Amino acid sequence: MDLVGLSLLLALIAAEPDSAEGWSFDAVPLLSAEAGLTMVGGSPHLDSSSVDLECSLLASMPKTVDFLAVPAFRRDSASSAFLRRARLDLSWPGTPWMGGGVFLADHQPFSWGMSVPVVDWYRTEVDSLVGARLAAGGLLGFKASYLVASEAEEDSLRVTNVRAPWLGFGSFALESYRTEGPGDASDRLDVLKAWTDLPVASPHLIVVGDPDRGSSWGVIGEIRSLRLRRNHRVSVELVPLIAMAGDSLSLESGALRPGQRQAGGKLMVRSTERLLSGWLYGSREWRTDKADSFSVGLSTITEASMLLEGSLDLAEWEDCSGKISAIFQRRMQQAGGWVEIMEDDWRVGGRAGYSPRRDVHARLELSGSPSDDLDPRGRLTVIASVRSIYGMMEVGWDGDDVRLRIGLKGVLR
Amino acid sequence: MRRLTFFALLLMLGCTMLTPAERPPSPEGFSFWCPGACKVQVIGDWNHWGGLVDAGGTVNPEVGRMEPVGDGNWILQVELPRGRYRYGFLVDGVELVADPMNPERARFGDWVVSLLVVE
Repeated sequence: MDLVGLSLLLALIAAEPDSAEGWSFDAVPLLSAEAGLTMVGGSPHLDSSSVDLECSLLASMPKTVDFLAVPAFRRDSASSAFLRRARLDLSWPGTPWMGGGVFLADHQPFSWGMSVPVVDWYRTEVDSLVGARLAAGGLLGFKASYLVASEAEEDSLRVTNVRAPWLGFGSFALESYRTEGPGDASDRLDVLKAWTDLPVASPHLIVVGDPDRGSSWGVIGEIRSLRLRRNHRVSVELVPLIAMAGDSLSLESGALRPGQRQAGGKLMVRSTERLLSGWLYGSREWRTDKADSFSVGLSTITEASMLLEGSLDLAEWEDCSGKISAIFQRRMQQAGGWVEIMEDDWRVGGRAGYSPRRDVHARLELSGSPSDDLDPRGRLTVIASVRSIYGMMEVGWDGDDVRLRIGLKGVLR
Repeated sequence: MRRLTFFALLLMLGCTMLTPAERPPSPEGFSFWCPGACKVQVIGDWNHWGGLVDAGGTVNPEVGRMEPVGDGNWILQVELPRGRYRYGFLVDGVELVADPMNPERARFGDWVVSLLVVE
């Protein structure tokens, strides 16, 4: 069966992209192969190996039909040929427009936040997501969609989304995520995002909550576009921010913490004339003064082809971490070093790279801790590319532990 | 006198080494300075991190592929709707780095990446 699947997959890969009467067809074959070895008693021992071949088959008619199927063949500890991902969306174009479709392992829920997403990738097990989706829009820029899917462990997921990306004075989005388990267990998260465009500033607001639970709420706000200075040389932007949450709010993404009461700001500097940028972040937690944080950083690319970066983070005014790095880069050579501070430890590292040709690059990285045990680590990586296929070989060592990794990845066309 | 000459030379060298380079005229979109790389991709929330967060979890080496435009600069124009997007530059398919010219940082898994606010 797997042999039949693999043969069919290879036949699909050999197919040429085509188009007929408004339809367009394409096949994108992607190969990814990896092997990992460790040195045991001076000889290499194969730890893991995998070959993954998938072919994205696309058929579409603009604004009407969108079809994707991704059959795949995978060989690691066992061999299997299976349908990895699929979707079929049909639309009735016009004003208003409407559409709908069915999907397998697709349409993974995601909701952006201020700097941390409200609903992040990996919240759902996308491999086991099966469902259907309806969408409509076109009136005054409004778009709405309703998605129902079943997840792993028989959970069901319903996502409602209404948004108006541009209303002349700003935009808003209303999202609702409901998960229901096999018993009475259910979970609900409503998200409102609002964004107003005022002449001098743009307030952004995200309100989250579970209406069924009183203290499960949260608010994050930022005021953007407050430019303290902007001329042909420099742009200085101040972003005040606030974050508050109820005691029983639970967000897996970490966009808000239960009981959070935080206020702070970001000061960002960009040179418009030179390759230079810097930032200063600070926030104060006024409910428990345990979560104050402070961060400062600077990046520049100098006239001597050097990338200089430095940053320092202070959490709770105790835990300090930071990094300073200087990397000299030219067309063929690369060399540099860095110093990293991590709470009670610090590491010093160096890097050298060489590119004998446009499509070949070798890089050596070494680091160690100047404290008692030195803790040496390093890796040598060689990358070569031919058209859209890339090969990689990496030897890494961490103390006495030596690993070898070989990989091949590319689009086969 | 010799000390003064040495100091002046050191100062000149330091100024040359540390003077930020002029920003090249770049079109709208992403730009990244990385001479010597075989390929650079810009991957982020809008393109599902090149396929990393999709079923299968494999980054497609063609997604978000940037074009070399000389002097070690890579560019890519992407039109994105209003919103906030985390992104990073994937160098040679093995190293994900933040945009050094963007002061807004975010986290994606264990990586420090950049944040783009499309207004």
